[in-house]
Amino acid sequence: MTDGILGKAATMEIPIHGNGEAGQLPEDDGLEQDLQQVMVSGPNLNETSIVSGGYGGSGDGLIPTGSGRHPSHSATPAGPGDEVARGIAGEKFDIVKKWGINTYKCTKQLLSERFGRGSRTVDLELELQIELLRETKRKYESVLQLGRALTAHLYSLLQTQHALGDAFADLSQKSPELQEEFGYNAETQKLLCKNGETLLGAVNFFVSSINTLVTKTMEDTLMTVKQYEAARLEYDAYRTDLEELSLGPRDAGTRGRLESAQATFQAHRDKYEKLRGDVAIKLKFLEENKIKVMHKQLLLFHNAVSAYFAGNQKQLEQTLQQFNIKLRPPGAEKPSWLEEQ
Amino acid sequence: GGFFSSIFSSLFGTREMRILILGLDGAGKTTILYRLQVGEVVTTIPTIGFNVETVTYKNLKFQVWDLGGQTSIRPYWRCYYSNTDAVIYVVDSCDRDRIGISKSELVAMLEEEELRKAILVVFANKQDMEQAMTPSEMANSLGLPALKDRKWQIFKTSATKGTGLDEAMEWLVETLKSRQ
Repeated sequence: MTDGILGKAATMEIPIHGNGEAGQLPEDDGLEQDLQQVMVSGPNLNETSIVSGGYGGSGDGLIPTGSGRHPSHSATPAGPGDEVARGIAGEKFDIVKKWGINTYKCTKQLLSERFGRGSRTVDLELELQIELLRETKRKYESVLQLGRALTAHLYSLLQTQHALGDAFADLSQKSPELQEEFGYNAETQKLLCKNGETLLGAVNFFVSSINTLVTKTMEDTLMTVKQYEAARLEYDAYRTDLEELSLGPRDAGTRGRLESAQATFQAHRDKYEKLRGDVAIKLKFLEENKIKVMHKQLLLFHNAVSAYFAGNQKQLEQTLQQFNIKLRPPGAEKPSWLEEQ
Repeated sequence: GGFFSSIFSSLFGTREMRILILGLDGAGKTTILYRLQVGEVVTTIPTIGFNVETVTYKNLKFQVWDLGGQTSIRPYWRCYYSNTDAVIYVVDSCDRDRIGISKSELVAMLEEEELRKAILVVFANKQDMEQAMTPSEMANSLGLPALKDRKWQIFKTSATKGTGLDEAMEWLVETLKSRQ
């Protein structure tokens, strides 16, 4: 990927104006969500046990105390001779401290964005696509829900038809004067039942494929999107940090700090650019996969439903066979964006 | 998943496993995916992008990702590495010419931090063909014996005949269970 070019051409910083009155703050429930997002991007403390209790708990943990100003007040136990223990504890403390500083900076950035100070980096096109994906997912989720409801209705319809068929068959044997009438009704209900089971199979397949698409495939890309959004916030936080430092006075002391700020800025910038590229790629692959899956599923759904209501048992069974056994390559007419390159 | 969900899943063993099927183009990845899902051979076309299916095997649920193996798609495999529990690496046992490429793709993949804990199952596929490489021949060509800190196993399979898949999945399920 051509980081530099893309980075400059496609993104821009949008200074945020307005929305700055303090009175609006209590209504802003999005803020809390975003704060949680900041929390999530904490360090991996799986191997550490000392802080597990307080991590991820209340909002208290958000603002770290003395972010780097009093490193001497460390939690390191100063047991003499116990070098190893101190080393490990010190390491853990460093992880926590780093995370604390990071969380502090990101929270600060988030708040300044919310209050209309500060600026945020925006890739307009990508964010539009992300919003579109979230909307598509919501709509597909409601289709999924309706599909599940249809399955449930079909299932109880089948049970009733089955019971009715049994009752008719029983009465046909026991009432000689209505034997024939009960008889053909029993047959009809049984046939309906059989076709209904085939249709239910088709609808189940439809539902389970859409479920995979929505809860696995789309969700997978949205996970990357969340990482990307967290990386964006971090990147902007360190960018702001660097900008503030470079505006300040220059002396021997600040030069060192400026250099290290530059380095962390660059690292976060790289991470952000990488995730941005990943999201763009994954959105493209996802879009193609969605079309491939839905093309197949909608064809199956249509063929099965229409065959069922036309009473065409043979066609119904063929439809099912066709989709279980033969995978028609959908979307084969249109070459992939990958092939077009 | 946080702390409680991990406790929950260890109590009930319900966590869905994420499996990637990788390998060069034409190795048989998609055929394997649908063999695992519907138990039948389906007609496939070269995968551009990926296929995802939910597969249930021995009461364990898997979300199986079959990523396209063409040269142009391989660089994007890494976008799908995170949270992967196991990689099924499929190799065409008759494709001696490209075994070196297959090896270098495998080596590059295993170097990725996100796959550090993933289990590796190699399918020496197309064993129904004549002149197929033996599993030990393939293991050596792929450099498997040199792997460190990696749980791996190789199986000879034929996706079209359906042989070897059960043994391989059996091993994978047991290994995943014992690791939990």
